[in-house]
Amino acid sequence: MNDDRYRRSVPLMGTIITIDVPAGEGSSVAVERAFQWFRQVERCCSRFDPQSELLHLTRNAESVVPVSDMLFEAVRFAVGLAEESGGAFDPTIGASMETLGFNQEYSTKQVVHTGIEPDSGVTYRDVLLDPGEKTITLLRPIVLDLGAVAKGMAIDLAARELRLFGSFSIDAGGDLFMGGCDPGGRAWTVGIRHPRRDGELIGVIEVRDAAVCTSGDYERRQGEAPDADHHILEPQRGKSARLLASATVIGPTAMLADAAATAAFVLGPEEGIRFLDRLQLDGLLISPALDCFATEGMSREYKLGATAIL
Amino acid sequence: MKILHSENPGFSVVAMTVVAAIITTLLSTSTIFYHSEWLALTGLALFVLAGIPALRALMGPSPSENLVTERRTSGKKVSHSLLAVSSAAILAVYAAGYDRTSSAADRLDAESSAPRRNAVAVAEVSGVTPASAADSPLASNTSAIVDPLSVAEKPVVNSPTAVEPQVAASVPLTETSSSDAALAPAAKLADPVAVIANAPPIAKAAEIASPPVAVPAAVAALAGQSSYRDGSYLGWGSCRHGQIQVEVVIQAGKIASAEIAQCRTRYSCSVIRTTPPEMVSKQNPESLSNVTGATQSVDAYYFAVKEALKEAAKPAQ
Repeated sequence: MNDDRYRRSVPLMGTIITIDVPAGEGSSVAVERAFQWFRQVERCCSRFDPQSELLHLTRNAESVVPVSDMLFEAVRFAVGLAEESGGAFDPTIGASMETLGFNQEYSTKQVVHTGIEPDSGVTYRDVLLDPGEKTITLLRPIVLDLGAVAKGMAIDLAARELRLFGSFSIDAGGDLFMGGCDPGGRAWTVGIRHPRRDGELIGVIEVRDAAVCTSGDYERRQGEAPDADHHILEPQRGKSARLLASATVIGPTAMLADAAATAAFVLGPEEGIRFLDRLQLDGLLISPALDCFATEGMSREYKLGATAIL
Repeated sequence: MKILHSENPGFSVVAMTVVAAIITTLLSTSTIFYHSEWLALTGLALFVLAGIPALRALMGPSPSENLVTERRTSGKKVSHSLLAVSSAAILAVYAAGYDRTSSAADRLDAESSAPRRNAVAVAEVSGVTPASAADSPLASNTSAIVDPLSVAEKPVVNSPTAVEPQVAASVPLTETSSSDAALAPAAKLADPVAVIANAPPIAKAAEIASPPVAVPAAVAALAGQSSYRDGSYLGWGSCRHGQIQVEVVIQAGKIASAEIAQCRTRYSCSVIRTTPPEMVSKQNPESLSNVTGATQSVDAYYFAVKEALKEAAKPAQ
């Protein structure tokens, strides 16, 4: 590692977060503040921490609950994306996630049971938001899952904290924000992971000042079997989505890129590309058979390297 | 892999106008050789006509040439309400800072340890009454009813030598007792059980705190009541992120310095590096300004200074 860079890794949000900034006075303080945003978001939005504000909201279903700015904005965005994706993304799938066994705190292994049964009739329409009063009302017993939104939000907040550095990177377990240009003043080079071969890349792109987020079926699995459940659910069926192996999306904010990648993953190759086009986002979708589907901007704007592609 | 390519119409227009400019330049220079003035003029006119689009093409694409970009941009406007939502979300949360975005559990914590301005309001008032209720969480909550500005800040700002009366420190006990042995007296003073037991009924505390008229008089009575002894005094203060120890040096009865001796907060204390000089210039912890994003650290610093000053205000033994 370069001497003129300051880099720290901290295990948070069920993954390892690595932040890299130019070394100098104030680097360690700024990076610590950036990490602090991750801790703050995790404490607010975690489905695994009984003390989290999210579970506080869950326990108070069917009543008007005043919430923090952070939780309100996260839920508002999640509901907005649910509408935009026609329900392919839906934050109300928490109970289904629990039923499939995605209810364990990653470090303490503490299992969280909300006691709320999955209900196929529950959708994001059962979440009422009052922007004036900053309140959220769950119309039914609902477990919200903000996994796809909270990490993006934390990355964006951290990125804002580090903005003055000009050249910085945040790696939150495969979800990245590449701030400015690389230390040499060129575009950052970002590898896209091969969804079936650990440690190998399937493509390389060049980005400046952008978030690159990937949703993959390889991230959180219940076992090694090819048909084992993974953590990206089809909201309507409450089962793991099977049309894609991974979905990578580039966006101006990590919140948008991460959530859009999740939605595209559920939508599958054709609909997923149409969805990304509609949102004017670029991305690369890879099917379980390793067919690659890219938006047109991937090669034109991000110079998607085809050399590594099968 | 399915990758679609789109043509860039702007490029061909640039090429065409450049070619046109070259041709007309050649034409106009050749006419000069024939000494034919009208031909030269025509050539010049042609050159200018061709030159304008060439210049425009060089300086930036005209609207019609850039339909593709335009469509893309307008498309972004429509579908990117989501981008706007996410950007606005980040702005809102970031602007609110760690503290106001803290979760419900944190808020409960914060309320039980009471924000310092409110705690001060009670401390100042209860200093007049024999029983101190400053550390009772109930009393602290009561103080929230009082406008902290009118009660605590304004009168104190006007009397820079005003000294904290003999009130138990506002530092929560848990942190205090876990600190150094130097803190032992303060810890005893601040024993919440004792304080709560001796505290007047909450209704009474509220009663005392609520009439703002009574307060300026109370504070006026306190002003000049005591001054600091020269020397060096240590005090600890805590906040949710940890603890700060401040060494206050008193010279000629005034605060000569109030530097951070130990920083045990989660953040580096450099986030409040402007606070110690401010303390010296203002001489009054109540008028310390908050530091954006570091209000917790300022709170810890404030409590530490208050504790050190309390030692300094004690009569010499």
